[in-house]
This record gives sequence, C-alpha cells and structure tokens, in this order.
Amino acid sequence: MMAGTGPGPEIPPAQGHDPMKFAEFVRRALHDAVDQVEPCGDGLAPIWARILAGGE
Amino acid sequence: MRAAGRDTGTSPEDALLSRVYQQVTELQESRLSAEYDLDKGLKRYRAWLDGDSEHPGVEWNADRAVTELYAEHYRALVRLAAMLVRDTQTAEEVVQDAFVAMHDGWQRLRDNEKALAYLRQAVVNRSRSVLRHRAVVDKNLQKAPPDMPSAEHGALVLLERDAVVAALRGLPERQREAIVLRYYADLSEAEIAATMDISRGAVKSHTSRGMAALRAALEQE
Repeated sequence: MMAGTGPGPEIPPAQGHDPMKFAEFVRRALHDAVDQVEPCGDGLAPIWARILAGGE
Repeated sequence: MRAAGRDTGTSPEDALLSRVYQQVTELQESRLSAEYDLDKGLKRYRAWLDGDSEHPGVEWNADRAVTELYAEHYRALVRLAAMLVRDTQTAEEVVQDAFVAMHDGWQRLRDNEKALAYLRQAVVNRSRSVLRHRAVVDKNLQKAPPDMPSAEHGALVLLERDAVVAALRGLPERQREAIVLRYYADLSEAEIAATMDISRGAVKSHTSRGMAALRAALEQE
C-alpha cells in the first residue's frame, strides 16, 4: 500500500493493478483536489472590460 | 485609456454603475487600449445589462454567448486551468483571456458548442504557455522547480498536498493534459483530441502512458 504525501486518498493495492479501479481512483482524487478551488471574484466584469476595450 | 466623465448617468443608480465600471476598467488599465473610451464602454455595458443591446447580429450573439458560457462553464474552466497551472489567480486570467479570444473569434464559431470546445482548447494552450514561461523565469532566477505555483492559496496548498496531484505534476506535459481532460473534465477521446489538437491515437497513447507513469509514481511513495 502506498502512502499519500498528505490528506489525499491512498491507493488500495488491488486498485493499483486494476485499470478500471485505478482510473476511478484518479478521477475521484482529481475531483476531490480541485473541486475546492473557487474563482476569487466576479470574472465577468474584467472580461467585458477587455471585450469593450477591443471592440470600441 | 481616454478619460471619461465620472458620472454619465443621471440617477444615483447610474452614478453608482458608472463608478463601479470605472473602477473595474482602472484595475484592467494595463490591458486596455490607449484609445479606450470609458463613456462608450459604459454605454454598451449598460445596454447589455438592460438587455437592450445596440449591437445586434453577430456581435450581439457573441456578447450573449460570453454571458451564457460564463454562467455555465466559468467555474469549471477555472478549475481545469487551476489543475494545469496550480494557481487560482493565473487560472482565472487564463480563462478570462480565453473568453476574450472566443468573443473575438465568434465570426468563426457562431454556436455555443463550438465556442465551448474553443474555450477548452484556449485554456489548455494558454496554461501550457504559462507553465513554459514560468519555467523560463524560474530557471533564470534559479529558484523553485519549473512549474511551482507563483502564489499560495488555501485551496491550492491542499491541492499541492494531494498525492495524485503531486504525482501528476511529474508527468510530461501532454500526458498530464490528457489525464486531466479525461479524468477531471470527463471529456471523450474525440473531445480531448480536438482540445489538444492531436489525433485520437495520440490521446490514447498519452493517456495510457500517463496513467502507467502515475501509478508507478504513486506506488513508489
């Protein structure tokens, strides 16, 4: 059994050798890791400011 | 950027909107053209807010596509970019750049599905550029390893501590992108091929090699 470097999930040995289970493990790990990321603010205003700048 | 009258509207609401718009554009000043006219921009922004665009046709459809795709996909695209560049602020800039480019290229795209595919492709390409630029800068400064994040952020610190994400970082660029698009963005092989501008066979190869390398890296720890 391998140990993660932090709070991430560990790979049970059986899953490490089953491609489907390993794929599911990777999918879950990536979602768990990055689904915590939230945009810092309203991204639409700067997008519009730049579009309008180019469009005028 | 051309100076604008501070309060172009007549009501307190207009004045407030004018001030907010001016603050936003001032924050973005380095990216705006010297000829940018705040009053015209505010007028168009107001028309858009009121749903009363003076710019019908292709331009109006492009405007509407930005609004709709932003509402539906901005957060997911920022997360996709964050997975690749591992820095939320940079990820947001990457996605905002992609939206601006999508608006500019609307004449070619003309529907939201193609536009979403374009956005994904632009996000992956821009993320790749960011990492390459960061690698050059870091090499010159002789400090952190090539694609370390430039700024710490709560969620990113957690992300960095995740074993899978850490192992992913060690993979070659194309393998990392293919795995993120397949297992995070849940794209089909054909969609990944279009996003990365490679063949489906190459997608299979990058994904399979990447997964093998990822498993080996995780098992070594």
